[in-house]
Amino acid sequence: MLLLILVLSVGLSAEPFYDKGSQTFSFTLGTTVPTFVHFFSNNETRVGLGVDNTGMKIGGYGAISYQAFTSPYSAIGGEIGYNFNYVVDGNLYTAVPFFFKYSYLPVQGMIDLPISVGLGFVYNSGGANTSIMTLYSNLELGLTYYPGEHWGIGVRTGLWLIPELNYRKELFGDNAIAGFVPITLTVSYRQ
Amino acid sequence: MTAITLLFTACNADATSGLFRTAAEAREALTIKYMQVVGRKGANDTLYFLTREGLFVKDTNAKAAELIVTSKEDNRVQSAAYLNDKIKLLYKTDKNDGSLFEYDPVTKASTPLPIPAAPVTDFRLMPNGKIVLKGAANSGEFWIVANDKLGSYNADGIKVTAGEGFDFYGLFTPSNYEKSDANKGFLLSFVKSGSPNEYKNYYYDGAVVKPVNNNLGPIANFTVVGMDLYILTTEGKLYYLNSGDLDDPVALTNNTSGYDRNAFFYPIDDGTNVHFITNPSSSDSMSVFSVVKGDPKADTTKVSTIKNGYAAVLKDTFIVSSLQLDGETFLVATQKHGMYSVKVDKVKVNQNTSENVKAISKAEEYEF
Repeated sequence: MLLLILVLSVGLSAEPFYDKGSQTFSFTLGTTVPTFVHFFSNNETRVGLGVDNTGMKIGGYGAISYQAFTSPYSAIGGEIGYNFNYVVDGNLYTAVPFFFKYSYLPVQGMIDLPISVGLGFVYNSGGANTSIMTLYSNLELGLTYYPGEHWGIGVRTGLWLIPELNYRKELFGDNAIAGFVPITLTVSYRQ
Repeated sequence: MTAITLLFTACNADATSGLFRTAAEAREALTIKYMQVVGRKGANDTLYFLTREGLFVKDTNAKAAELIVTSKEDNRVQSAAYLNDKIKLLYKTDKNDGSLFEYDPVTKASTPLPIPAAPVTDFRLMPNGKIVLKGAANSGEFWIVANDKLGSYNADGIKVTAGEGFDFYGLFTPSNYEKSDANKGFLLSFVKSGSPNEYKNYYYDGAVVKPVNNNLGPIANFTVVGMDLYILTTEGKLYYLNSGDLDDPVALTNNTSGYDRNAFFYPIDDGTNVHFITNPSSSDSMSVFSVVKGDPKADTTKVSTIKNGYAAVLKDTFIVSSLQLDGETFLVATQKHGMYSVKVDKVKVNQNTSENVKAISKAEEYEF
């Protein structure tokens, strides 16, 4: 924590690295941890992995993203990814999120500390004809180290929120919101 | 806005449970992979079943199962029959040189039973102990013969001539099969490859073979109610065939879900209606067809989607076999989640509530 505050304070005191119009491309690979699912109809929340909880196991996530800076500290862009988690019965849950992404970088330079929010859609599918396109939102914290001017490597984590709002009346009782925690490695290129 | 609406409404059209609900209620697959509930001697007295490991016996509800015939490479047990009148087992393996055996539970010895030589080229063992022999390749000739009449199949067997080019499509035993000395009937379906495939169907009632309509399409399973037949196809169509004219099917309904070959198709007779419990493939729920007993018609046949009660347990288990214990109780063997004993409520069996079942065991805690 002390190190983080130090880095943060150093970063804040430094001149901004980015200009309006700067761009970053990122390639992300890592895991996702199904954290909770809450069913609205009976106000039931299931927390954790596996049987009697979310029913899902730790999975994998890969994504590409692009952002352009609108000011030295703010960038907008988008991300598209692919996520999978095996369900305990052997079925596969997959999600393809594609979303608008806003990042604020209070620390930047050799070390970037992006704080991002995402809002968009996700195409979810599971076993037995179960698939649904629904909304997607996330909050993400990152730390990227740039040994040179352009290429950097970093880690990211945060929280995804995926609401399942079924449009068919007979499925209203299954309306829910699920949370996932991604833990990923990111390779970034900036210019 | 229209594009976004279409994007949303194009999905999840066939699901009967929410995506996260389905995952949250999922159970881990068990290592035991059932293939067949073979038969039982009597209530709480000796149950035989087949898994990928081999053939097992369980003497009473209280005892653990014992492996009596082990499946080995090139000698895997594929099917079995329990002969209630002889208190012996038959089993078929994939062994090259002689693959039919008789097992004596008293001596615990297996004896090979010779399969007739050419023109016989293949055979199937039915759960009631009957053998279906296949003649020369492409001949379309088959025989139904008792296991103790294999040597004289030409004289003692019943010949079925499907015609040149026809081969096995499926041999169907009703899901409410109970015991070999009472359940004699099965359905034979042969196929000739083409575009479209051509089928020849026959019903063996335990004494004679009767031709059945050939235009039903690929069959998933059948059952017998009284003397009449009900046939479910892989496309989800349900037909009624009066015993007086098996060539004149009455199309009752068409479920939108498809079915695998040998799908679970279990009849429950409540006195007024006959309910057929089914487990569509690629579905997260079960379906029950309800037909007015004695007057089956399309306009009075209903299909109910069930995901509560017994369906909450059985819907995603990959049912491979079942055995009737009594009019409302049965065993269900599955590929993913072990075996269950189920006692349904005869009248409420087609209701999507927890009241459709009176008792259902936990996986592997079945009683027989």
